[in-house]
Amino acid sequence: MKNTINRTIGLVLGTVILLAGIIVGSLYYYIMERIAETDLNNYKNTAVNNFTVSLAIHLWNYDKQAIELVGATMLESREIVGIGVFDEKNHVIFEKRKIIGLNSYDAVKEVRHDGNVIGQVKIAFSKDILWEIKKGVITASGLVVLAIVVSFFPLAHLLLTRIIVNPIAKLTKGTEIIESGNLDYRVGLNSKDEIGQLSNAFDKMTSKLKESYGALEKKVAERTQELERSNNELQQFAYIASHDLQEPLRMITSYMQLIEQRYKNKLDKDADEFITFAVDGANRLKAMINGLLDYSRVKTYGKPFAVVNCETVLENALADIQIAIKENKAVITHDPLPVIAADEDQIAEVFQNLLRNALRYRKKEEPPHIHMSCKQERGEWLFSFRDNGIGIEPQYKDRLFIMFSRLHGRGEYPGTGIGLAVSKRIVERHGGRIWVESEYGKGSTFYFTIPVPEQAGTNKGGEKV
Amino acid sequence: MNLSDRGKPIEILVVEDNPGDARLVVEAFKEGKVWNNLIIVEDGVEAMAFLRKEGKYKNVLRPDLIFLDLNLPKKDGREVLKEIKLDENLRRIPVVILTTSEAEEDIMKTYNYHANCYITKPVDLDKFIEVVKMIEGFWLIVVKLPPNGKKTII
Repeated sequence: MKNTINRTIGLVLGTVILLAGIIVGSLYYYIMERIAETDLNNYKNTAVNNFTVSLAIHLWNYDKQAIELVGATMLESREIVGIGVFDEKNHVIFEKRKIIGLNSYDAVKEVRHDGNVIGQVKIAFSKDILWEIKKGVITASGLVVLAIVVSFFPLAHLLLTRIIVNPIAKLTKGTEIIESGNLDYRVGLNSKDEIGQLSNAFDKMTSKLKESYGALEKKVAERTQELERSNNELQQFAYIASHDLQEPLRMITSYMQLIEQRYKNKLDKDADEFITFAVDGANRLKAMINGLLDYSRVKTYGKPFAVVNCETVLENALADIQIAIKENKAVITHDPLPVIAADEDQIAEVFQNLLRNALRYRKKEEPPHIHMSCKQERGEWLFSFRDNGIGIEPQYKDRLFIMFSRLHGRGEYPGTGIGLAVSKRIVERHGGRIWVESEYGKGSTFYFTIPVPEQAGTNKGGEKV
Repeated sequence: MNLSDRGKPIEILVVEDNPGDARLVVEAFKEGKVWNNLIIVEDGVEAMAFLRKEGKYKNVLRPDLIFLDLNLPKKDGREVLKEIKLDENLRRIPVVILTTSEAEEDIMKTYNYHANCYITKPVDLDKFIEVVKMIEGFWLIVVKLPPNGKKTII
């Protein structure tokens, strides 16, 4: 912006000074001409008077020789191109002309003696030569004047720059400094003019901005602290709750099992049924509490991320559920899987959860087909587990990942509703997202992402990434 | 049940404040192979009194094995462990810590005090019985317990 204003100022100033120069110059020239003209007239008159005076005696005496001498002397002056002396009857006594240019003008004067006209003198001046002399002086002085006028240009330019352009540039720089984050900077132009006012208003605005930023940050910090505290409390609560619940749980399950072992078939059929329900409930309670513990441990027992080979993890997971795979006659395929930065045990848990679900929620008529693949997209690894199971109705898709939520009765499909909630927590701990796409009756595909760290670790030496 | 090497039952002291858990130990040992005699005390003070044959415990037999829970009333299990292992007469007795805590610092501390091993109580009855049987199998059959030294009273 400074450039444009400078240029504009320069242009305007230049034009103004040029015009001023032209006007002043013309005026000056005109005035000088007038003065010069008057000067020349005076000079002519003086010259003629002097000639007349010096000739008067000689004319009265009719001393031709003396007259010629004076005349010749006068002709020595450059500007005099002709001399003429006449008697009272206008007869030529002496006349001489230099043969130069015709541009001349004459000065004529009567010669008197005792009040009587005794003759006439005429002097012819060369206009050109006279003007030549004068012009030189005028031009020289004119150029001096022009130089003075023109030199106002840099001076005026400097002043304008100092008054207008620099403060504006300072203001602009101020905005850049503040934009880069330094809210303590003040422009501080204290001139009493509009620019000074602008600067003050600007500084006031910056102060206000800093204040509100400060207030906002404080609020955010408070809010974050609250959230952290609440989060920690919840985490502690979940852990303690599930931990302390283990003991009474153990009492219930153990003694229920003891009774079942020792007294089943020794009491009546109702008792057997009651015992079965009780044992079943106790076992489910145990699974849920362990699930809660698992859930809260995702954060507290989470290990730092290291290099994890997903192919190996998948192999191990498949080995763990070999029996279920065989029982279901499941076919499990996969594309090449990458090496990622993660907590290996937790990723294994996610794989196992998703595989187990795929096996569990299968169509009765078809053996389960599960396909795993992975591709890198926008700085993340996108994993997908596709199955040909019973699928999920669209209105239930979001509920899947909630703790303990189940879409089927316990009679239809076993399960506690923990697997996906824990998987979600694990994936989110890694900075990713998990979701499902499904067609009810045809199958489901579970997707989850794991971010790729900036320096992707391809070292297989177990180096921490 | 088989007789022990000595032709007498193995004396096992169970220090456990939860009667439910204590009874489970009893039931589990009923299924065991080795003839054993379980004595149950409910807190740390009773445990030390028993071991030192004080008061009503004047005529008891020194235990060959101790099951010790950590969270006990009156005197904490960790205290009891320390005292046992510092006592010249008692420190040879193997101490099996059987507790609910999985905390790493508990595990570390008790091994520091020379517990012989640390076991977390399983929730499942079947597993519990399995563990007790394993303990029995290891400590009473595989392992040679220190001589009871009943003949030489120190």
